[in-house]
Order: sequence, then structure tokens, then C-alpha cells
Amino acid sequence: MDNATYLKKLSKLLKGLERSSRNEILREIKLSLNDMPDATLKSRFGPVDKLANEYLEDVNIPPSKFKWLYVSAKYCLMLFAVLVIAVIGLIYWLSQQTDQFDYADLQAPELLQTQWQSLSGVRELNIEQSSTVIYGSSDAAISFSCARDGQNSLMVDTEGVVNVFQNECLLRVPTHSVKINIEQSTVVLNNLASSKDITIFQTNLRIVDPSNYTISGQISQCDDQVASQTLNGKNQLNLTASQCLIEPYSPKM
Amino acid sequence: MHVKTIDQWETQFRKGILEALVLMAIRSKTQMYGYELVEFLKQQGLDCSEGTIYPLLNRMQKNEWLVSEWDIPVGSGSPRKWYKIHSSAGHLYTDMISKIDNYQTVISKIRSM
Repeated sequence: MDNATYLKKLSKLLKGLERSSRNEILREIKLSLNDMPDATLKSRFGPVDKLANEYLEDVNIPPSKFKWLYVSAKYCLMLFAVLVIAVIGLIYWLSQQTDQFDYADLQAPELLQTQWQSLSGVRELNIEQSSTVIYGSSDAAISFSCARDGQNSLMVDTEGVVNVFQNECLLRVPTHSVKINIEQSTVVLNNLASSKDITIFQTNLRIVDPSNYTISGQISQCDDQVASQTLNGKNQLNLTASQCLIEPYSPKM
Repeated sequence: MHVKTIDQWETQFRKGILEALVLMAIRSKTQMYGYELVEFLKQQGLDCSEGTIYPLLNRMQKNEWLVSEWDIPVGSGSPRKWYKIHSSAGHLYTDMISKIDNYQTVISKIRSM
């Protein structure tokens, strides 16, 4: 230990003394170096903690008037640490509770157990502010399974238009022409095996296996992450899109 | 059961006697600084270290047995903290010497039996 470190450590160990008294001690020891310039303080005064104990002998260190602040800060930090651990635990727990349903898997148990309702004669599907998975289907009718079937959440009019609003639905869309309009929603497209006209606005469109598609149409102000993959697929999508994100689907996203 | 060693006994014994020896040494020279005092005590045959004497001087000053003064030389030379016997510690010194003398007499008497 060099002399500077020795003095620094001694100063730290003498924190309980008044500043003036501590400075006086340090000054005296420091200046004593002039008496024996070649010797180290440690070799002369011994271990620094022992020296500090000698100085602190018979000294009653009064409790600091800021002790309450120190104690409060300590408990606040402990509380903060507990809260951080709790939040991390909660986030971990929530992450374990995420949807394990793989929408790309057509044999997923969730899909096989779904109770479908059918509607025939549907020519237009409007999806707004909803989370939806759209499957291609060889059936003649459109079928659906929605979390809510209230009047506002799922409306079917006499003109063959189905409106899905603020809902969570699984939809099976037949091969015949159904125009799909999607707004402010998250939609997964899976195996949509025919030519479809789709309009999306402010929507996150996730496509299962994008290489199966050829996308044409007008896409503006979109982050199209599948553009290079959707050039030569057998399924045609005529997409009119603006302010959107188009990306490949992968489970647990 | 705790068995007291010779080192522990000497530590206790030295505490009091060292204070008296420091007072005697400083009185003999009127004033001394720490390093000078350690060297002086060593010359007289006392095994002591600066790590013991400096804190002791500090305590004796707090107890108002000693007073100190910094001497900062003009030009060359290094500043030193000089210790003198406190004006109010004169009778303390006398009483201390008297008690030590008394112990010495008792020790001599018992040892000569």
C-alpha cells in the first residue's frame, strides 16, 4: 500500500471524527513523512485499520442527525429492489401466459376444437379494430368464431356484408370472391388459396409463408417486410394498402 | 474461560505508564514533536511505535494534558506539530510521579522480602 492510499484509507476510517480533528491527524501523519522520507507509512505506523482504531479509542461517535435519512434511503432502496423483482416476475409470468396458439398450424388443437358458425352469400368482409386470423377454406360459405358476438362486434347485413368490430375472430374465407377491408387491426393470413382483393389501412398484416403469394396492387406508406418473398407465389393477393406493416408470421409474436 | 496472555497484560499495563512516560519526556525537553518523541523513547530503551504514540498524543491533547502548536518554518524545513504540557496539567504530572514512586517503593519492598 503506498502512502497516498494509506492516508486515503485512514481518512475513510476516521469518518466518525469531526472533520477538523480528522484533518489535523492526517496532516500530522502526512508531514511526518519528512522525518523518514524513505520509509512507508505502513512500515512506521502499522496496519491502517489498527492505527484508526487507536485514534477512535475512547471516542464516542454521536449518531448522525441525518441517520434517519440514511435509514429511510436504505429502506426505500430495499422497497425499490423488491418492486423491481416483482415487476420482473410479473413480466416473466405474463410472458409465460402469452398466446401459445400457433396460427400457422392448421392442425392446432385450438383450431380443431373451434366451434364454427357459417354464413353463406358473403361477398364483403369488413374488419375494424380487431385481431383476426383469416384462413383459406374450400367451403362454399364463410365461417367464423369470434370472442364476442354482440350486435356491434359482429354484424351481418342483408347485402352480404360482414362487419367485425373490436373483436377477436378466427375466419375461414371460401375460395369464391370475397372482398376484404381491414382497418386498424392485426390480421394473420394463412393459406388464402385463391385470388383475393384486400384493402388494409393502419393495419399489421402478418402472412404465413409469404412465398406462397404473389402480391400486386398499390402499397403506400407501409413497411413491407415480405416484398421480396411475395413475387412468384401461386396465390394472388391484390392488395391496396396504406400506413401498414406487412411481415411474415411466426408464432408467439 | 478467557486466559489473559502476557501481551494482553502488557497492553493494559503500558496504557497508563506510557502516558506518564510521554509527560516525563516532553517535560524534560519542554516541547517535542511526534517523531522526536518516538525516537527519544526508543533511545531510552522503550519498545514503542509511531502507530501507538501519535494516537496517544492526540488523546492526551483531547484530555487537555497536552497542548499542541504547529510550527511552520519560513523557507526550508518542514512544518511540525509540537506538543507541550498543558498549563493545567502540572498537578496531574506531580500526582502521577508520586503514584509511580509509590508503586516503585511497594514493588521494591515486596521483591526484597
